[in-house]
Amino acid sequence: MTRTVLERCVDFAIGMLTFAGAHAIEVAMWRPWFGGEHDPWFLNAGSAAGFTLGCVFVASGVASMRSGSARPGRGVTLALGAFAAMAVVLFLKEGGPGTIFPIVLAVGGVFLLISSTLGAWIGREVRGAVKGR
Amino acid sequence: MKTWVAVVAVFLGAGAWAGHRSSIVVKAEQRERPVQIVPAGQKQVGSPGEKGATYYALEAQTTRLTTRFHDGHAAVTERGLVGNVRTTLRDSSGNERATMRLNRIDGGHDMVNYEPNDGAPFQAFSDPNLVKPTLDWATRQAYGLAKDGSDHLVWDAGTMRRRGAGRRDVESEIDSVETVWANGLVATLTRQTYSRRAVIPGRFVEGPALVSELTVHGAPAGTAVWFEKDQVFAYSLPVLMTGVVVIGPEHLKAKYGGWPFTPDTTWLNLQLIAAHHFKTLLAKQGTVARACEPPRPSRLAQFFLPTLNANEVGCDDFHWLDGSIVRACCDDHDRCYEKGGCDSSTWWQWWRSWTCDRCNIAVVGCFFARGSTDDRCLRRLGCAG
Repeated sequence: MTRTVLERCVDFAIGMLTFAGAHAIEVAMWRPWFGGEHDPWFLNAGSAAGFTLGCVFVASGVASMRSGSARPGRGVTLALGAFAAMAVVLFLKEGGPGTIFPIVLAVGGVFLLISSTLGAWIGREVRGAVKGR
Repeated sequence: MKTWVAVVAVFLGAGAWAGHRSSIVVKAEQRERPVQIVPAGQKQVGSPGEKGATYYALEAQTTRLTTRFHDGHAAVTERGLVGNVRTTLRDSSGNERATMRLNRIDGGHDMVNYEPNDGAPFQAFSDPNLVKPTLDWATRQAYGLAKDGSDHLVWDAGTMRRRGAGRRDVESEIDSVETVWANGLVATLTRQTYSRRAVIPGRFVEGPALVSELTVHGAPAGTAVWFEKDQVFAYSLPVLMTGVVVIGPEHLKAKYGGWPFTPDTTWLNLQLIAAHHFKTLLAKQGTVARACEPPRPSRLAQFFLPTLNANEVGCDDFHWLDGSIVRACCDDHDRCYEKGGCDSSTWWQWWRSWTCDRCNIAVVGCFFARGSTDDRCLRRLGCAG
């Protein structure tokens, strides 16, 4: 397995685990932190959306900053992992997917992609700045 | 790498622990809601004077109601694809007097937009405890507002009227009603006067009557008559039944003490349509009810073929948008799904029917283009934008 493939697998796993972890925290703290209205799901409350996307952003930034290549599409792999976790959670959560689930998947995916690529880009820039010092 | 694994493990462990505790709290709170137990065998009956769920389910399939009044006014009320209602009222010369729109804004409330040609427009919340947004209600409301004025409004027996204006008996001012229903069924009601005659041996009727004539794709299919003085309802559907069905107050005395309500113009048309509809179903499939319970999918099957009724108010799994401009899109989509019998497993099944797909095309267009769905665009009737 080449280094790039391994790196992509790790990024994908980080994306999955980050989303799953963020969702687990949202389920746990849904009432005190996120208002408790509707089912626990990151797009059901603005604060939950911010929390999940923040987690993905930070995870992507840290992953990009810490190690590996400086390829521009790095955040995409992590976003794909987060998207996979999002899809699984959406279909398995209590009540099942709603009536507009394809739109939820598409919009959620775009948000995750933006958050992840932005995090990866900033992480890469920070890493470059630190190295160049 | 080891650092990452450790961080993720701590992250997930904390989430799982807190999730377990939170779910216990939520379940405890849910247990506190009291449940009203009804003893086995006790039948709950509604108020006999009020129209029930069957009436509203049938009424929901009316697409256009054209009402002509004695003074020459005519109101055309149409129901859009997503349940929105629009009334246009014209005077005897054909000049537009007013328009009224009803749009569902949440699970129970509708927004009423009234725009008269010679007065100030207004919008108001409907009262869900008083108003069922039927085409008939919209017609009578628009007519009443046009005739009496629309300033200083108060609710009175489910109708908005100007404070100080007397109650208007719109029913008595109606000359004719045309009800356009699904499947090419059209019922046209007129007022007539019958000379004395026997509808069945020994049962004589006469005097003013509401007469409804039914057509299916233009071909005559049946007749219903309400004899106002004798309180007798009679109907016949020559292709689907032999003879005439006659219901008088004597037939209802034992159970209701007579007619539990006074049949009106809209009811008569809908009753004839319903009789034709149900008798057609009986003739075709021997029943008008579902023969068996649908299978209950397992959790695994649920994963691949998820089902969910379109009854969650607002944007399903997108509730942070509930207060935004796209909220109306979600509600329209829910109504459209409910009407079409769709759920999340039928999101895209054009090879069976376009019913659900139309709802989805509308909601996607609504999300990306505008804050509301205009079904005229889908029906190619011309729309702006």
